[in-house]
Amino acid sequence: MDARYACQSHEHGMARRQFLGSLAAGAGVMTGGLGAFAQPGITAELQKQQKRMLVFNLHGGVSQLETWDPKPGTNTGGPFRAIPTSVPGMHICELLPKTSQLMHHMAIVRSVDTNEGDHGKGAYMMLHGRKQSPAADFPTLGAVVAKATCPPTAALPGHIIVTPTGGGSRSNDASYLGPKYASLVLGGGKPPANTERPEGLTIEMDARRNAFRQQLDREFFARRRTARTEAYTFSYDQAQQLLEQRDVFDVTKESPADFARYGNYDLARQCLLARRLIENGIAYVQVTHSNYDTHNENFVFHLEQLGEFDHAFATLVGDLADRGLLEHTLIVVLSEFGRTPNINANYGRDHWGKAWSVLMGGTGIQKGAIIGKTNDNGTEVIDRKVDHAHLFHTYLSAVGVKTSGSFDIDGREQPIADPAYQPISELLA
Amino acid sequence: MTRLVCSVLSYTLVVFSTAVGWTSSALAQEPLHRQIDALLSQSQTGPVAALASDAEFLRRVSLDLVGTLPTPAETRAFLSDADPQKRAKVVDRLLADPRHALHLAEWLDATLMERRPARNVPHADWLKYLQESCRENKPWNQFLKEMVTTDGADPAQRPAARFFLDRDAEPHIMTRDIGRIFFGVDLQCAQCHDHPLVDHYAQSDYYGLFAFVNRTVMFNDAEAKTSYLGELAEGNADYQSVFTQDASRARPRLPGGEELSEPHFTLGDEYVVAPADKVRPIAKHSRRALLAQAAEGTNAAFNRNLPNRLWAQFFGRGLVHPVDWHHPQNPAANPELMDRLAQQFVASGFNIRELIRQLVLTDAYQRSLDPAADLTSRLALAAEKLPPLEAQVQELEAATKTALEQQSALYDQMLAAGNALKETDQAYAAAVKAAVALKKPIADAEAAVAKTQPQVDAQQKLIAALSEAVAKGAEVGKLLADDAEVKQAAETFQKKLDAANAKQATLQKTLTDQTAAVAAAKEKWQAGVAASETAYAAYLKAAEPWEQLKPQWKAARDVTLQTAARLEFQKRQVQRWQAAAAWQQGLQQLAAAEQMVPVAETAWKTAGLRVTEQQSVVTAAQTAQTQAAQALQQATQQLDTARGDVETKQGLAKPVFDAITATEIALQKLAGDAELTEVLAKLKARHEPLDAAVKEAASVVTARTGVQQQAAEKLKAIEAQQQSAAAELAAREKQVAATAAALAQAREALDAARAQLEMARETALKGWEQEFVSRVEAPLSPEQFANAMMTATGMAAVQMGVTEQELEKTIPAASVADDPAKLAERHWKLEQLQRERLRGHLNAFINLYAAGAGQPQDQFFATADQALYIANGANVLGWLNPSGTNLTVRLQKLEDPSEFVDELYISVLCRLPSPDEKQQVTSYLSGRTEDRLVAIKELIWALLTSAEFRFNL
Repeated sequence: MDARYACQSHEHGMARRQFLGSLAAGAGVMTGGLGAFAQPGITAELQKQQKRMLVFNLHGGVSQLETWDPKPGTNTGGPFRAIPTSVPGMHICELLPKTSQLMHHMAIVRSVDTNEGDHGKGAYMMLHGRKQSPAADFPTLGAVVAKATCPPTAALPGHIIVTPTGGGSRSNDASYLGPKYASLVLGGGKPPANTERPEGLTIEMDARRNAFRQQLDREFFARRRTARTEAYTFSYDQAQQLLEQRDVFDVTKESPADFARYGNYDLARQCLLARRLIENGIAYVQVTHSNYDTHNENFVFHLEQLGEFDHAFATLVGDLADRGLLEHTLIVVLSEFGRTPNINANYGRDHWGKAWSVLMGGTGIQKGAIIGKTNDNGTEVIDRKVDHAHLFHTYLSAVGVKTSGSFDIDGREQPIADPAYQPISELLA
Repeated sequence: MTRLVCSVLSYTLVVFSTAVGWTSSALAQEPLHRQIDALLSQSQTGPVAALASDAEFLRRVSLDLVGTLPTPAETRAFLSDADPQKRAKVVDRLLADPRHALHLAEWLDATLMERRPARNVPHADWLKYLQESCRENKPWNQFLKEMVTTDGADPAQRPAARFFLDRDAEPHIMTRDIGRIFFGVDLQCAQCHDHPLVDHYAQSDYYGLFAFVNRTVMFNDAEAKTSYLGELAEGNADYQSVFTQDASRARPRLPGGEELSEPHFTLGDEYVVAPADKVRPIAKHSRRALLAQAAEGTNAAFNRNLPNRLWAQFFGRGLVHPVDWHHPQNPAANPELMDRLAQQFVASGFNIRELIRQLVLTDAYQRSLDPAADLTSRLALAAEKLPPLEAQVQELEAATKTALEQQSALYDQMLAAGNALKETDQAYAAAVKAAVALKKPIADAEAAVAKTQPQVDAQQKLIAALSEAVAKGAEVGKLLADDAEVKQAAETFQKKLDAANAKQATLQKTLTDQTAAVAAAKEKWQAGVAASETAYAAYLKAAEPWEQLKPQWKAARDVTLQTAARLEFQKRQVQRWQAAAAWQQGLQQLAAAEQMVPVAETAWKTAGLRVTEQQSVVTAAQTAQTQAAQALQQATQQLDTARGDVETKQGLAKPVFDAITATEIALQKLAGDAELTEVLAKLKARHEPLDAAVKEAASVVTARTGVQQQAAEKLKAIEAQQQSAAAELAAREKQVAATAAALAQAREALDAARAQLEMARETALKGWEQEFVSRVEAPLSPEQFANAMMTATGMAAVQMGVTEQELEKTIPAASVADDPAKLAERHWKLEQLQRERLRGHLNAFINLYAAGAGQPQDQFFATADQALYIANGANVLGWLNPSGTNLTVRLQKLEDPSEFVDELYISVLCRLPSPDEKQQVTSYLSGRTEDRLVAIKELIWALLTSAEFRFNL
């Protein structure tokens, strides 16, 4: 009897189209979407080409004035100077000396106005590209990137958040895209759950039982083969591949020399793990650095925090550039909001969403560009005002996602990004 | 046999109905499950599959009704049962099983709460409420009533309040989830504007629902550390489209219904408990409780929602799919059936269990996973079905257009009427505001009174005491008349009393003034209230045109929706039949193309043969030519030889002849010279043979010249022949190329026809999948999957032993053996306890296999972390270790290979193995005597993780 491939689901249709689409540039040896499940070689090849996104979330709200939009010598400027960068004419704050030498890979958006001063709401907007609303529920940037760019055959998860500690499990941040695209939180070097064979289960036993399972499935597929049955069977193959590639998550496999170069602190180790993940083709990696909520002693805190950031970040970006990975990787440095130009009585800066900056780098963008402008003392945007939704479109466009498109979720169209907005076109390469 | 008769009967009914149209009452006498099959057969375009095998049916219905697999004993008994009614009997047995209510409760939990965390009501309380409700077969409308009217204050009713409480009563979340979960409409995108993709989800629908819940508030009782629901009497559902800027206000309106009328309370009279600090407000009129009107059976959306969700549960996809996407552009697979289900559900008193029973008794539910043997049997019907359907589509398109125009015109009027209200509305709002502002003076005045009154009271006490002292002083004065000190004391008291009286008079005056101020403030307030009432009356009057237009617009909109829905359904029917026609055409094209190929092949082969033939002709001609050429060459050679001979001989004869000639000349000069004469004679004599030889040789030459010429001519003729043969060969070779091209073309045409047929076939099959002609695999819910694994491995049975022992301590089985009611109660407790015992395992599966909290729970996904859990997690692997009478232990004991494989397959896949499968397992085990236990565990694991196990087939 012939295998009856009852290809009835929209999801499968989409996956198949997407897959073929992403394959079009590469090999022409495929017979169809299904064949891919059995051809890890092709998957590996695709993995190298795949676009990736590496997001730094400077939690608490980093000051734009102490980073990407310094205003030295003004009433709001604070004590730090601006220094020249590797891009002629572009200056950033002196707290980022190492990063300043890599700005030819970067672009700054200095005209972000999200008008939101609440941590939770600001973070939601920046990572979802939309305002938070109780009855509406959207996937995060990482889930969208994973869904839109990962081939369905990828064994490794496409959406990883690297935290200093904890983790090891799946979050609930993919909304209607489903748990498949939810983030895997990795922290403290702990690998994802169940990625080690338990004692008593040898590789041989595992291979035997899996071979028998595959035999059963082959016979069953002669009766019924659909996107669902296929996806289920594939999840076990994926698990096997994950077991084999378990080291991808293990930062201790990096060399002592690299550990020494990155430094002995949380963010440094996170960055080293991020490099490892990006190198292994993970579509979306997010690194969180805490805490920039400097209502008191803004300058002292930024000096300390950005010192950590500058070294680890510049080392990572330098490595990615050296290894040719910046060609495939978009870098984003964002926060939930910026900080007030006004310096308060405690030498602090408060929450501020009216005029702040976001840094982008790597693939898909105009390197060395500065988008938008704030006034002399940074109290308002005077050119090319953009917000979270424009940025969301831009990040995705930079990694090749057509943001005017929609996901087909069980017959329902869900726009990839807020249809009322568009990417910042002049920033895109 | 009965089934066959039934399906023939329903077929006749269909034919009859399409010809004459049959009344629904005729059909209504049939049990619902027959009606369902009859209605389905009207819309199905594809051929129906055969009924599922007994094993397939038992597994399916067990998973659906009690949430787990049948035990091996159940499967064996069912397979060997010869009773023709055994399917219906097993349905009734499973519906009466306590596990049915427990399973249904878990389904309702996932459906209603979508795995949201339990923050305000413990999950166990909520689940128990659902379990008990399902056990008593609580009508669905009763569920709704309880969930919308309970405020959570009464502990007995509190679990039902979880629907609101664990959504923090957030009005937008409530609006969306009530819309989706109770009415099957996801209005999320209509929150800010009319839905961009679904024409028929309007902002007014969203706010009509929002108006029920936006006055409900969470009240946190800090002391009791509990939250309840309160409700305000104010708060309008005002909205404005972010696209068109059209603004309006909604009163409570159920999806698809009309705005509900509400009582009006005058200001100050709206509350049972008025809002205040640390007080839970309770309005006299609860808009939230108005939602219970949906339970009355008149709201089509509510009536349809649960039957459709249950259908989806049992059939792998909804009649309307996705289940919260009811709208005209997404019509039911069979709208009449959808309506019938809803109508019968209402008629049954929203009886969930009966509906389930009817659904699983249908033939449609019992279809095999394998599609009909002959998929093409109905394709030819397309030709007769299409023309009337296409005509209907045209009619409906026109009707939809007209309806939409009417609706649009009424919308504009309604909008204008609404806008015209603005002034009176604002005046009313201002009057209310003004009146409310008058409340504070009353409070202030009352506070002043409250402040003065105690002073008056205190003063009064002082006066009383002083009066008493004065009286006593006078008394003492009389007794001690000359005592100066006493006298002075009496005078002092008198003085104090006078002063106190004077002060009291002032205080009294103040109090009187203040009391009057209270009265005055109250009067003002009353006036304010009266003014607000007047303004309200004015508003009501002004709103009349608007209020009248609203139902008109609604009616017009209903017409639009209905026509649009019918149109869309008919369009889909047309598409399905078109797909069938395309398949049919594809088959014909394929047949034609298939015929063309052998014809072309024959032509090509024949041409090839003719070339071969001709090639031999050419070859023969070539041979002949070669031979002739050789003959010619030979003849020429011989001629040349002969010529040479002549020459040689002439060479001999010529000198002699010359000598003769010379001699004769000499003789003429020496006439008669004898010697010369003699010489001459001798010469002549000598010459004669020589000359004869020359002549002979010359004759040979002549002869050979003839031969040579003949040979040359022959060669020429043969050459001509060869040329024409070669030309013929070339022509024939051309023919081969031409027929080869024709063959390639025919083959290409065949491939194209095949591809086209495959496409047409896929399109048609895809359509058929949606009309329930065969079984669609349904993914097991996290609970079903976990329970199935626990049942299959025998872990559940082992645990049941423990549960049983535990229950035995409180309710010994012997104590209830004689009382069926108590026995049933004990059984219920047992299963409930067992569920609790397994709860941790269930939760582990839910964590991995359920969609995210607050997401619809019916979407399938498969991830590596799930597979890793089953592959390496201690839980499932532990169930494979030998324990009690679990599957591993049972298999260890079975020495006979055949019995072994039977037990394995019946336990895990609930069916007997095929001979091939027996063979496979047996060979898997062979040579594993050393590590037989390991091999057994591997086998069970492989079956548990097979795709066949993961789905309800």
